[in-house]
Amino acid sequence: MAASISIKFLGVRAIHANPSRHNQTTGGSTGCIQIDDGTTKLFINAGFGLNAAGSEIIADAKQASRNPEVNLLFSDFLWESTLGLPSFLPMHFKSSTINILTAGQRNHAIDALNDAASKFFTPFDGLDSLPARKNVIEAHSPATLGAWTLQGIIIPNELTPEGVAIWRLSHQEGQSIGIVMLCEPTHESLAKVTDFLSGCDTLICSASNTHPPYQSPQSRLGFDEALTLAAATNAHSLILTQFHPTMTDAKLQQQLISVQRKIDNLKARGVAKTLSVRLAHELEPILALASSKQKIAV
Amino acid sequence: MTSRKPPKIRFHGVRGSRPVHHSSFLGYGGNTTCIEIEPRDDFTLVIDAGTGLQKISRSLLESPHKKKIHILLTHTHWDHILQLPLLPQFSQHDFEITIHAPNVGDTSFETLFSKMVASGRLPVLWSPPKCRLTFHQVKPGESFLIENKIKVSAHQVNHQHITLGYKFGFQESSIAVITDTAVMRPDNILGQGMQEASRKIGTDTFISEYNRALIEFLRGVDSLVFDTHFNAQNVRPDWGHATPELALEFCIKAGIKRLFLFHHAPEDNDHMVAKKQEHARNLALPHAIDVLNAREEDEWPLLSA
Repeated sequence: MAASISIKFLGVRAIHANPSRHNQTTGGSTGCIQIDDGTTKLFINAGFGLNAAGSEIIADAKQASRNPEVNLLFSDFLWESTLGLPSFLPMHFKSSTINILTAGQRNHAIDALNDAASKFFTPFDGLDSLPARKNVIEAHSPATLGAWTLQGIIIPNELTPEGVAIWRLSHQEGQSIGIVMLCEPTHESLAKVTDFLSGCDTLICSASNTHPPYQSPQSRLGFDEALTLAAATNAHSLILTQFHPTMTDAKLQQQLISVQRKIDNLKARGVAKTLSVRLAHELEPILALASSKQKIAV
Repeated sequence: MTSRKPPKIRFHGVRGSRPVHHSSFLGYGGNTTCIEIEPRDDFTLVIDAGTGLQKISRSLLESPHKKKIHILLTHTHWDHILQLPLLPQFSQHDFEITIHAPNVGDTSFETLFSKMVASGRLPVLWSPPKCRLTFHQVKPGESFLIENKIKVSAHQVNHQHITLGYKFGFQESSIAVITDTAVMRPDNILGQGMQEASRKIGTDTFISEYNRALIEFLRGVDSLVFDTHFNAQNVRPDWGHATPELALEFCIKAGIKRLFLFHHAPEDNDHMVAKKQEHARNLALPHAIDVLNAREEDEWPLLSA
């Protein structure tokens, strides 16, 4: 029997936060995803959205009379993915353990997180000044956490010399989730990602659709590339996130309709027959069903 | 005869520590600190570059005449500088941007900024600025003129590193902005160089001199924007933040008649922020001080009290 896995987006914005009434439905915090199989919680990225989970983690641990433990995977170490960490409540408890998983080199992760908690920019003095116990784990070969097997690969990206990670999360009950938070829309990158995530049931993919005023059109995927990836990997469910900060709820809804039409066209040609698409909405849980080719249900 | 309109203060980000997005927080706003002083002139004057700065940058792109931006930074914590490297006007030839900021330790803000944009952590590609970019190191106690029109005075307050409060003098009125500060007491001396100074002259003398100097700095201003991150129940002075009680104490001692409560905690929803204002108003009543919550998108004319 498949495990019941819930996915909750705590932050859905790329580049920078944009708290605004125009983003009320989709959200305005920078990226963070919580994936929970009922036993093990995984968090992907530590954008400002991560802070929404802090007090619940502490309260849950207290209720269960155990020490808080957090599993945190990083797709990249850009500001949008790290700056929520210094103020994340469990980081401030000596009894907490934070497992930091990187698909790249351990020292890159430590350097980046030290920068995020630097004394120049925070009241703290680097990662070590925060009381929680930190384990930094390299997961380029598969790592096991509870019922999950986690594997990341690094692909190049013009925004960071360290490259960015693509994650594949496989549950022992059969479900698998691919995570693409940052990816260049080049043939080479898309081919690598397709190969790595082929057969994933659910694809969580950025749709930053980079446009002015920011000057990095070659660093992020748009809606069309996300759809191409979903179709190429044979995913059944595509969840779009990491939206451009200027994309309001209304504009995102228009984009979604356009992607849905494209999926209908693909289906009419016999491609991506089981694929469904949705936008990530901050703090709204999604139940990801099994690898039985069922669609995602809310 | 036409009378010149008074300058205005406009709040673009009022939240401290980190941006927060939730429907129950959007009444006061979730963006981090950014205030615009609208001098009714051909330049833009901004205090701090938190996520609220994105609103100014958007409106400037639509404003053909305002090509000069002065950004005054109070200090370099993330919530005050986060949006700065993302300012699109850096890449526009016709803009002149001046960043006024204190040093951090022995490091100038210019050096820190250069390291920041070259770190490989920015979420956008950084290319050398095309605008005319100037850095001005502001020292505590310094006064200077902006565009030969607005007198700015800087004063070090009790927060990590060198954190500056700013005072702006206009023909018609004046305003002081103190975004981050904590109560000064023997176990809570936070600012760069303050511990050394207190050891030199004695803690009690240092504290009384600090408070006297801050009151003198504020004396006579018409409006004060002040850090009220905490309340009397949850205050953690070592975090470098204050309460409405401390803000009112300075208003009373310096004779200030209008107080904006600012740097709302990211944990405080609209209801909690409104309660904070109600509480402060009750305390202010006998002193005839007008207390207002800073709210995103609100603008207020700066009138003489």
